[in-house]
Amino acid sequence: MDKSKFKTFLLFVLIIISCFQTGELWFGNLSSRNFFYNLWAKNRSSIVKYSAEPIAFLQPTRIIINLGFEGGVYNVLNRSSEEFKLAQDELGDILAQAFFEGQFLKEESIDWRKMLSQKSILYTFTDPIPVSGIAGIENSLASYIPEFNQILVIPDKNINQEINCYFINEKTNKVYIVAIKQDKLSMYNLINSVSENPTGMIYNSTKQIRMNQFENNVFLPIFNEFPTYQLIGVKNSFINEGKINEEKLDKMVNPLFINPTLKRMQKISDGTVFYIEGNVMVKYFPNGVMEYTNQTSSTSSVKTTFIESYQIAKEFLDEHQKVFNNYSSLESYIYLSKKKETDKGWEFYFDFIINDMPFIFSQEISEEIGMNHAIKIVVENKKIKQYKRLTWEGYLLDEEKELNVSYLEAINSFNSAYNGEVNIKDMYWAYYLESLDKNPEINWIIDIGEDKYFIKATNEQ
Amino acid sequence: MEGGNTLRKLLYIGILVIVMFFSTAEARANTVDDSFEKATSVEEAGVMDLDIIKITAGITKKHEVTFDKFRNISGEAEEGMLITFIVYQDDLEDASKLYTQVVGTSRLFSQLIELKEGNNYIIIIAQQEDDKKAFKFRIDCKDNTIKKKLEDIKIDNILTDTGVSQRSSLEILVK
Repeated sequence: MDKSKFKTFLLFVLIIISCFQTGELWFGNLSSRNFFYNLWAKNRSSIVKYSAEPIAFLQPTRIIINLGFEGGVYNVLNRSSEEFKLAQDELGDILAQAFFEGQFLKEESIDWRKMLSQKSILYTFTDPIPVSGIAGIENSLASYIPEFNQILVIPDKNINQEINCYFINEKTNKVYIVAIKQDKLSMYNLINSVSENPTGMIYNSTKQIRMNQFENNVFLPIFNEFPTYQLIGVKNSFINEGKINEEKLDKMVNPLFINPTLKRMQKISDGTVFYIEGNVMVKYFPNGVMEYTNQTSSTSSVKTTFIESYQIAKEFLDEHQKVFNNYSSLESYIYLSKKKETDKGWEFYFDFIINDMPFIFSQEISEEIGMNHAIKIVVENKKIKQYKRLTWEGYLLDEEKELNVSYLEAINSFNSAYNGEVNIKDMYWAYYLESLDKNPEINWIIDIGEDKYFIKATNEQ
Repeated sequence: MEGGNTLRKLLYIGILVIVMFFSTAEARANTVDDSFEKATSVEEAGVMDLDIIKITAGITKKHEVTFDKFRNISGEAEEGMLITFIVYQDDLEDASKLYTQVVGTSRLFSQLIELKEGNNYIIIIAQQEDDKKAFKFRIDCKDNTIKKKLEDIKIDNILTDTGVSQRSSLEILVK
């Protein structure tokens, strides 16, 4: 009797489930025919889940230690160093403290010489970070600080002391001072250990030495002996002897699909490869550009804040980047170069840092590949709508070059070329790829806002 | 007993005050006996105007006392001017380091100087055709352990407590 009742119940449940599945297939999301799709998707997302707060995704492009010496002497932390990792972890804590417990003190005009007068740590971001959405509703910091592109922290040697965090916005020439309670000495100890044994390259600050040609405060390397840098090569790692390595490409695109076993592959005459599964399509172009598009349409439109969208983009990107880092002999880091708010969401543009230097390419290459930055991610309705990126792989060459053109020599060349003084926004070394048939060379990049000027960092004569 | 403690506290504070003011006083003292032209240092918002050149960072006085390990000496000068830096330590003029640069269109110069413990002499020679001027500076680089000891002393503890640790740290410093 009981057995019979159980069988009836089981049959009833199965009928309900089959009706539901039929409905899903007819009217619902066709991204998968797998009945356990939702369960699978749920589990999968939990793998990607990060324990940290969204603000932990805000990763600085550079971390600079002010050694506290007269005239301004700085160390820019090497990305692969332990110090960089430690300082980056500390930033998460600092931001959390500032936004959730911090006390807004005042807003001032930027006075770099005053701010850089003592030992400190400076986090710089390439594009300003909007505060709205970072701070909780209870916290009023967002009403005081619209956005910032640098954070300066001056730690104290005593624990449980109030310390000041300077949220700097160079675009508006404003600094917002927030007091937070220092609950550990790790940052103070880090700065002290770096200043006692400064091992890396020494930098100066253009504002501290009064280089008026610089609109922003820029840190430039100074040296008495020319530094050497290893040269790199860049290759399209999915093409071997003119043929696409489909097995390797398959492994690269698989993480982009919910159910990769169900994806279909198509090739067209120009060599472009298409992968389709449900609403997701991934195109791989022979020039090494990969484009992911999610064509899921939504009737409702959900507007998200910068930080929400950025977290979605960064989680997605970090997960996929692991595949590249597994294959590549040279680990590349990614930094946010630019962001743009659109009617439907946000667009994020990222670039690579290879061997501790930014990697940039010429306008000619940019036109050829249809991209100005290495990675573009579009987030709409809390979903990745588009993800386009370069799949090129960087590798070290057995060749080193002496960087024998100082920043002053580079500025002199720039001034001669421009026949007068043009304001400089930024200046740095970068691996610059001029054309696809050459290897990148280290150049001085002089950024004047609407244009960039390239000067070779090595004088061969 | 009570009076002895008060006296000891006053003694410690006195020593601390002397140590704090020592560096300033020493920095002010201009004892460099040089045959070079006297630096006409007109300090205006941190800029040292030496007539032929301006030093915007790295040196603030003719004689300084510091714990710094590096100095980045930067400044402004006329285009085409030859700037020479000669750096040496006490009695080691033969082992001097020489750096030369020609000022370009930016009208800027910058030189990284590594400081060693003791007296570091920096001679800056500015030459524009027949016009040649030299300026001598002395940077007295102190042992970094003194700074650490100074930092370790918590003034508030000295004023409120006569603990053994504070006393011993001061005693080490005084020695």
